[in-house]
Amino acid sequence: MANKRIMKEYAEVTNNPPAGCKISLENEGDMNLWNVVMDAPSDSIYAGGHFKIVIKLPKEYPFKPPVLNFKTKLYHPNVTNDENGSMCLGMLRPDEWKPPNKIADVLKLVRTVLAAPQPDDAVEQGIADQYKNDRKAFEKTAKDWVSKYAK
Amino acid sequence: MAEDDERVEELGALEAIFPEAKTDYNHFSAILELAVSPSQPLLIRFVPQASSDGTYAHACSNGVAHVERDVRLSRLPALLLEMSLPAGYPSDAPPKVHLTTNLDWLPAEKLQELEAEAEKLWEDFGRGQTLYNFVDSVQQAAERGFDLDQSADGFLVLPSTAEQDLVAFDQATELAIFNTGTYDCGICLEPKKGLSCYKMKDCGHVFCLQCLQDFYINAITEGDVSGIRCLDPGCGKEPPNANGLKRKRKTESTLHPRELLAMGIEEATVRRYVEMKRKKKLESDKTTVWCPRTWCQSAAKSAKYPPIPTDLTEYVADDAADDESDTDRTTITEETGGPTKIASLDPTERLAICEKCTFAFCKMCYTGWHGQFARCFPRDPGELSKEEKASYDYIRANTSPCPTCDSPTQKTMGCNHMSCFQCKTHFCYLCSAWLDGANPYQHFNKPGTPCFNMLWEREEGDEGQADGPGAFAGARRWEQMAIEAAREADAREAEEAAEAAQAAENALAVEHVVVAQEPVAVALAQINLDEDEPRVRAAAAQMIARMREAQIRLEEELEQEEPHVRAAREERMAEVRRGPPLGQWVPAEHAWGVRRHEHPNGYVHGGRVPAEHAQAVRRHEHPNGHVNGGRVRRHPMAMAAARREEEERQQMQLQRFLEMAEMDQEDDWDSDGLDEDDVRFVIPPR
Repeated sequence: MANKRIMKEYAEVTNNPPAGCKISLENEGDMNLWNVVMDAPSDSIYAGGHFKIVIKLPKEYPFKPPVLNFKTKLYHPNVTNDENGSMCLGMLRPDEWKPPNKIADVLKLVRTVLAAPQPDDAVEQGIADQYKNDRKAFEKTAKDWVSKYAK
Repeated sequence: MAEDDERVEELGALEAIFPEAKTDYNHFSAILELAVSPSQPLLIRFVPQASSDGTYAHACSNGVAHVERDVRLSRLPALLLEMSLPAGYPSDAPPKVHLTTNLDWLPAEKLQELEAEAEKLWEDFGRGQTLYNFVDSVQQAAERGFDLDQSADGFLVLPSTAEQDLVAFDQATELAIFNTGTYDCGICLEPKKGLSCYKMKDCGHVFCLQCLQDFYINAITEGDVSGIRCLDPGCGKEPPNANGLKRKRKTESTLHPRELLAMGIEEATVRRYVEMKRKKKLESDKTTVWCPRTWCQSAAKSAKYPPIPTDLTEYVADDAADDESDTDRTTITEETGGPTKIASLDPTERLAICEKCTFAFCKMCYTGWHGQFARCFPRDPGELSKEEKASYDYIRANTSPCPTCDSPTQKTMGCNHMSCFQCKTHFCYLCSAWLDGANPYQHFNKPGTPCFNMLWEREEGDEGQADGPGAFAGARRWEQMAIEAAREADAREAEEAAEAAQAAENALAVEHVVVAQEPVAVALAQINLDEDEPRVRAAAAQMIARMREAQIRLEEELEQEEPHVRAAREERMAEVRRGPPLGQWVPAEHAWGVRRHEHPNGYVHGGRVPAEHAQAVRRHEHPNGHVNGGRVRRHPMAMAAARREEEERQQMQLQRFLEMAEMDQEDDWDSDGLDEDDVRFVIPPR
């Protein structure tokens, strides 16, 4: 069932990709590792950046949530500032995930979070504090990183 | 005939509009069945059948409960319209109509009122063709629930005998309609026929049976009770509050086992779910009392958690209570004090009965029920077996307790915002503080607090962490500092206690010599048995054999215990030498607080400390009242003395017996003196 659903979802996003997303498979024949290149929303401070995101669909998918990793470095309070670039927000949390959620919904959420960081739900507290208290410095670093890593 | 043509024409039109109508052109009549499904469910009050005098008192005296039940139904048995067009129709005669309902549920007055509508319409339409208009008006009336909510009562009153049929009809109709539909399953994304789908009872979300079964069976197998809820992403969530800041999430209620059964999930699996659900509740309730029998360890009976019925559909879900406790969590935790509360239990409330093995025991001292007048003390937590102790020490040194239910929690990886698997409490792994579920990370975001910027501290978990100043001490580090201090004091106290115990034993030994038979100076070897008294000799031989047996038993017991005692002493000496270690003894309030939680993700380690050795422990009285931490020691010297003393005593008894035999008084011998109990009574108290 899982595989059929993934195929279906993949076909759906290929025919009708979510805004600003290019989706491919990381390895041919492996439906469980998706490769997404997301153009940051133009109204966000990350505008102009292209972010590579790897989405791993566990074998229990859709019963278990997908795991999302930014492969492009990103200065954002909700994305871990390490080699994993993990994001674990809202529906991606294991106890909040529900099987009818789709990868397209996940990507929609990612774009929303890119446009509007959620410092109160941050995984990088330092960045969140800066976001709240010194927005200018935050935006500067974020933009620097975009031109440094995400072009 | 023009007239007839008009009637034929009208019947034809009716047939075209309602193909299901049965028309009879010979008699100019038609029969039409109209489904009744009011847009607003119809409120019906089912009143117990009025008996001969129909009074409430009469019903009561018949022993029948007079219970009125209000039910809302959206599908009711069809209305049957029998219409016939008389000779003069439409110009001279109105259409003749007759209305009936299947199961006779619509009151006769209402039917007559509807029938009268036919003539009225006929008049209104200038005595023209009115059949369609009539059917339409009846249909609209049905849609409005025949305006029964406008009636004097505001609802339809029916005898309670009709309830079963009408409810069954409603459900059957709904199911039939549902089954013919096609639904897109949100999980497998396939369109499925209603027949292979299931509609959630409370929220009406539809998924295909296959997906539901797969998901729920998987969740039950994994032990994820809280996952057994509607799978719709938006289900159970409240819209954000007006200020939009606080995302208050309503606790979703888990499904009733009835629904899982209806999805075609095996009863055994559903039962497992119900059992787990109940167990979780029992375990997260600090007031739960557990059976002290090692092989049982079930919960004691309590009115709060009734046993699971054989018929799972009868299961009484108390999710409402859950929601309530969730909102007032903090206050409730303060009110239910846990073990400390038990210590202050009134003696009349100490009786507990195990729901599984029906063992009646005392909630406080965990012995078999001793009646309400016996004085008892809480079980001494120091009296734990080695495994229990090891398990405790591990829990103390390596886990953080959930602040709500005290489940020991261990982090294997990730951030320090924990969500208790047991009770869903959000808390900080480092300091066990409660966290706001809506905004858990704030805790790590307050400069100056110990957990500031510590969200990702020890992200890789506790395992394999080197010891050192930064090593994980868990939220119990304060506890551990207190333990160290207590341990030092305890070590001193234990030394004193050991000395005191020895002194007490010595005193006791002297006492025994005095209490035992009067010393006799004749040794066994010196006694000459009367060769002519074989009976006496046989008795003497038997007694010697019994004494040997008793002696061997005693020695065995002593030998069994000796290594343990020695090990304990050596351990203690080593402790004193190497300085304060971690968690060497366990304070009283945790003795029964820790239970084993099954944790599919393996986050929680530890164990419910079983009542192992509880009985053995309780056999003994404490010589010094409460020895702190159960530092009970028996000096080997004291034991040797005890053994010597026992030997002497037996010798003396034998001698006395033989003396009596010589005087032919052996029948007065109190042979009970050699019974096991008496042999045991010289075992020095622990």
